[in-house]
Amino acid sequence: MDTLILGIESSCDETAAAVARNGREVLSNVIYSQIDIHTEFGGVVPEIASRKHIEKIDSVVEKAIKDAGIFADEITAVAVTKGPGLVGPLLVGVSFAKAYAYALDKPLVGVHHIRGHVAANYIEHPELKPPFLSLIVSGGHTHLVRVTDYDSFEVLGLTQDDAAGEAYDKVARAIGLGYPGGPKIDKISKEGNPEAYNFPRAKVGDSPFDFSFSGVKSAVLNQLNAAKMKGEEINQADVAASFQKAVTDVLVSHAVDCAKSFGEKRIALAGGVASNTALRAALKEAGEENGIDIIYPSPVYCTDNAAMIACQGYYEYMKGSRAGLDLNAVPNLKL
Amino acid sequence: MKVLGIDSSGTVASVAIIEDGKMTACLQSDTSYTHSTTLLPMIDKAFSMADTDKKSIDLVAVAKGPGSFTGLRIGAGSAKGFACALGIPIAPVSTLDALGYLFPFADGIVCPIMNARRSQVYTACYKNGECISQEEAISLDELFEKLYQYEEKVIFLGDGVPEYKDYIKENFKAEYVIAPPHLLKQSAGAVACLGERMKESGKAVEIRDFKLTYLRKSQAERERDERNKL
Repeated sequence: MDTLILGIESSCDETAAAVARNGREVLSNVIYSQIDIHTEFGGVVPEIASRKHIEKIDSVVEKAIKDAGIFADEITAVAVTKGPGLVGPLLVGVSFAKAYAYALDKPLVGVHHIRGHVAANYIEHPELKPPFLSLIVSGGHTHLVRVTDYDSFEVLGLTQDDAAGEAYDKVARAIGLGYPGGPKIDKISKEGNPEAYNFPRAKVGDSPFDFSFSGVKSAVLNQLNAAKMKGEEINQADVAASFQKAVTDVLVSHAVDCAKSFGEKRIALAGGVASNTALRAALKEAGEENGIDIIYPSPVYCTDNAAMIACQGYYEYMKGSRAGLDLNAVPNLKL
Repeated sequence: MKVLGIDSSGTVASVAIIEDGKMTACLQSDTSYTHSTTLLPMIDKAFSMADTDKKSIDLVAVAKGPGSFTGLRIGAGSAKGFACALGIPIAPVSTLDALGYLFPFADGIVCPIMNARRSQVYTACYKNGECISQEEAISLDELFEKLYQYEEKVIFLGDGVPEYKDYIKENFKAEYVIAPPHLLKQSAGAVACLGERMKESGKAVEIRDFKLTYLRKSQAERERDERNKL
């Protein structure tokens, strides 16, 4: 018998709902993105995001059910992102999901947002099964993890300061590209010289797989300041391309070194920054050189979405995970 | 008609069930626990106390604001989730109306005040169960000036009372009383009753038309509006 999971995601600025069959097949995937609303503020405003989530959540869920071609009471269980993320937005999804599951007498599963990003890889790679290595890169997270089972994760490296996507946003603002930084830097970098500036590739003390991106961000800001003092014009595209190269070099070398030292033959890229074309290309190339299979989801499953929550929710549901009616949002939930 | 009432707009979490004019369950708590962990268990308990099948509910009445932004959304999220699953309408009840409805037949002016921070209260005035003013966020001094014009005794209630009791005592220059603890704060019973009235007069809404009333923009929007004025 098929297991249909309704996934609900509202951890940041996307209100999303989806239905997935047996953890792999997406029957519907509805995303309401608020990005246009937050652009004028230069980043996500939690209170505005929360207000939009509560306005949209019911229509997004209803559309997901309708698009899947099912009735609400045909779902097996509800899976909802419980953290990490912004507490106000998370609470909307959690409150809605709890009441929805309760009213229908369906089980509820609380899902870790990052685990969801990893699970996005199951959708288009039916052969993918744990164990494998995953590099998760987004606006709020930079993780290198070993997925030992569907619900078991070993963190091998994480950022000590800024997330990679956060550094993208800050640099994009500094060179006048605006928000959101990731796609804008990715685009303009195609016209720039990645060797124009030599920004630092930070190593973190004695932890070979940890990341630090505040140094490269500061180096870019210093470079811009120095140019301003001297009255020099800076080439936006060169700065963007050189910054992006510095960031992707570190991400790729850490991931590949990590795979080699653990004997992993496959790396699954995940998270919002996983749709960055430079990162995808560099990782793919390094993978080919080192005999490591590189996979990543389509962009629609890289951005925050609920299909990934439904897929991860399926595996956690099958393992017996159940959330109570007192499920709370946990903004800094550990992996 | 069976109505589920929910109010989590302030420090109180409150749930009530009304069935054909009878309140079959009412739960109220005012603790430091967060609504996100307490509200759904309270709803579940209300159904078991009322011995009623949750799927037989015809209407969800919920406090639509003003109030704590996060508290309102926990209530609204729960109400929407419940109503969406069962395909039933929502009655969006003003938090202030529900407070005013705790004293529907009182002599004088019923004046709920809710703590709105920034030295303001969310407030409105009621007489014979009807709202006779606008809902607004204003300072107590501004509110006092408005109340003097009615030239009637005032009944103060709401979660602003504990915080401003001394200020009222020292500065309010007309006759007044303060509501006793059991009638001081939000009650889902009043929300459910008003919700039922709304449904009967065709004012309940489909879920997609339900909107919260914050009476105040977010800080980021206020700051932007200030900048744009300059």
